[in-house]
Amino acid sequence: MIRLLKIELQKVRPSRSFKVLASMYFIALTLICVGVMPFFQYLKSRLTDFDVDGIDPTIIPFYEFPDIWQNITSVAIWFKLLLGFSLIYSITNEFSYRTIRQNVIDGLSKKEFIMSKIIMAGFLSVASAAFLLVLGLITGLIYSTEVSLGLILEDIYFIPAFALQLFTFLVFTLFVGSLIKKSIISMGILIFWTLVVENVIWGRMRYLGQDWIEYVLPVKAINQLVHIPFPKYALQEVQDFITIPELAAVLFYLGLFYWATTRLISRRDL
Amino acid sequence: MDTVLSIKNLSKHYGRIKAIDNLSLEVKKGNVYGILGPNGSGKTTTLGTILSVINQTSGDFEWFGKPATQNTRKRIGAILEHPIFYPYLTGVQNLKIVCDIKEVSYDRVEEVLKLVDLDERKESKFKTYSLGMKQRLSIASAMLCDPEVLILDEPTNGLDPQGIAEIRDLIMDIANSGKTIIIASHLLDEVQKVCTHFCVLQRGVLIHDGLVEDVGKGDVIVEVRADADNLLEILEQSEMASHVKRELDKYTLTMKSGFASKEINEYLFKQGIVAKHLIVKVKTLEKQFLEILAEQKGGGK
Repeated sequence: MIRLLKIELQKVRPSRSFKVLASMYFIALTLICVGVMPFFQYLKSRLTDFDVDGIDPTIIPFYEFPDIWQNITSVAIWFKLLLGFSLIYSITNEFSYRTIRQNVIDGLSKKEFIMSKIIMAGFLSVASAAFLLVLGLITGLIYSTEVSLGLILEDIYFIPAFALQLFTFLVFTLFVGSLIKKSIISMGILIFWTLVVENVIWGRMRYLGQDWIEYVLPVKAINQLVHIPFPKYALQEVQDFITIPELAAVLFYLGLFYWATTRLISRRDL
Repeated sequence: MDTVLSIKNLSKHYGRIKAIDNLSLEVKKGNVYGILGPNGSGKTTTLGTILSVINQTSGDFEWFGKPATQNTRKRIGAILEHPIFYPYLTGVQNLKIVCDIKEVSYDRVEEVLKLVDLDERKESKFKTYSLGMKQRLSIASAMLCDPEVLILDEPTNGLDPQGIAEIRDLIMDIANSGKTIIIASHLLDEVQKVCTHFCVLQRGVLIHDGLVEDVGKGDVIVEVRADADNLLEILEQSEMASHVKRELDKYTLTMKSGFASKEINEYLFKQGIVAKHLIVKVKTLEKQFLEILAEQKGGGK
């Protein structure tokens, strides 16, 4: 496993496109997590300009332990596409340069090749989750009104849940990349599927009252693991925990896309 | 001798097209084995299949007497078609990836780069290399694991004459060190110079399999040129040749057994003719190859 990760890192580390995409992602993570409070302060100043009294966005406890974990993970997951692009780029390059063929000739089995990409996906997910954990701890300690170990740890499981979401999504992008083999087309399809196809189907089915649709659409199912907590600040009821069926759906898609990618590549002539 | 590679009844079909059709052959340890064939005869498909990048339709192959796994491929150095590397990585970075795949130490990288004389440009990106340099880098990469078997597909394709000579010397050196080499090529001259064994493929079917040293055997061919108007007549009257053919200003004689250049020279001299050009021609692989293909066309289908 270390060997496969090492091979993968050697491949992507000097690649400029990969570096640009990955750093864009980490910068976006930082901005979104650190930037909420300045944004609230900006809102507050604007609202005072308009002379609206009694509304102070800065009192929204976005960074309060333990709520912070669900808040930042549900925001951070929106940027998964950026990380997905860097992985699509890495897999489609292997097809367009035909290096996957040379890798197999040199002594990597097709399974090992897929594993090396999946390990890379796992590595990126864990790295993002760890990064988010550190960001959360820092901003939480700055802005939380009440700090104790118990409060910090209370809902911290949202961080590993975030890693799982990201990992499953990245395995999905690997599948798309292996299926399409062309980087730009794969990225286009990924955007189109995630932002248009799923949303249209989801919106229509929800309108018809068919809530089960969330489980059938893979990206929605992944997103659904962590519910968006913000309506609670408008005093609506929100699911602030992870349910077993939703977790099972994510694990199911993880298994499905792994299986489909393996089958696709092992049956294909390189 | 140990069998390095044995292929049994291998077939690969793309729909109705048979890229390889029921191919069986064996390569022994120490052989330098040439796979010949016109373009599209299935050479690269065969090599791709025995390297597990192409899934066969039916049949089997064994490396070192065992079914192939990724670990057997680690003992093989192979290049198929053009050199394939990551264009945005340098020569050294590319070779290090191969080291990790083959599980050999990075120390070998410097050694093989010296071997193919690519030391100076090792820190340049692969995409900046000339075709000859790319070709040499891929030979370096194939040599990384100190392979027991080297597989080369058109190794001198696109090289200049000097590059071809260098690669040929390199192949000779490797062959002399006792390694098994399998070369696919349509350059017959190349195969004749370096190979011990050869086989001929046509449309995926094995149509010949033999030793390169046997190629020259058989009929003696003598080429004659002299200043005589009735040379053709005189040569035919000698009854030493089974066949006389005119090629521009010279005559090619396919000799009957028992006769060679000495006899024909004596005969001409007695007739008052002095030959100004008299050469015994060894049959080339090229001739043999064309004959084999022609036989196949005439007799076969």
